[in-house]
Amino acid sequence: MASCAKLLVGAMPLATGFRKLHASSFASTTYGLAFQRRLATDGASSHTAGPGSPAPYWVRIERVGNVVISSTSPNGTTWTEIRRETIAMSAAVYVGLAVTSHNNNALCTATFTNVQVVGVAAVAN
Amino acid sequence: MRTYLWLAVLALSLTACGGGDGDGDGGDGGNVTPPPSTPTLGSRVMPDTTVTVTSETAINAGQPASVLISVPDMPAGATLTAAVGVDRDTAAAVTITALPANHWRAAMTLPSPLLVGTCVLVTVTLADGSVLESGMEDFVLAR
Repeated sequence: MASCAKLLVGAMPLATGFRKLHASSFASTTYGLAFQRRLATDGASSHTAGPGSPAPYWVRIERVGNVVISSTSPNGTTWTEIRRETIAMSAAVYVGLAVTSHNNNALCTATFTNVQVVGVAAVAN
Repeated sequence: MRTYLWLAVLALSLTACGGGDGDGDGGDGGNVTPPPSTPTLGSRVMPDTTVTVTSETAINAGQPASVLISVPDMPAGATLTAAVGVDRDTAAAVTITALPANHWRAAMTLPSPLLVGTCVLVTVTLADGSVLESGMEDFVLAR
């Protein structure tokens, strides 16, 4: 079975540990759209499939308090929620973009366009 | 404290790399196949796991029905559950019966009325507690 590249956007808290809390919306050429999250440091992760549409597509991750909402859109205007989850995060979190080939022996390339981060007060390290 | 943050990544485009993971199990070799006249509701690839759902009966509101769920690359130690509904929060769990070769039969009485968007939701829970959930558009019973 061929592996694929995928994109993730997510909120990652300032937590220690290799497998950190996170919530991500991703678009993949093989897996379609999905919401992934880890609710506890070093805990198990969960994957909820969204529409099967392959990338390119619009994805959004939204934090309202400790509720994280993953949504997708075919046009950037009309959004459909995949799922929401309550995740106990610290007030300060990281946001970012990630790419994976799902294959430790292969690299992949992804292009992100029209990236917006809204409602964020930057915190100096 | 209420914080609000949203991050939009618009018009994502991505170029997949080549290569394969080479960890397939070579097929199930089982004898469970749906009748040839029944439709496949869909197939969805989640990370390293492919779920296919096929209707074994007619789909009519208020009537008994069954679907065949196939996960040929089911990870060792994983468990499977299924539910039927129009959204995740209200979907009703259905009885499933394990069959040979990584197949399961889900028997249910369909809701009446059968709302557009009613679907089969399949959840695979891996041995480490990780969860894979199918999408609302993957295995739709009523369009």
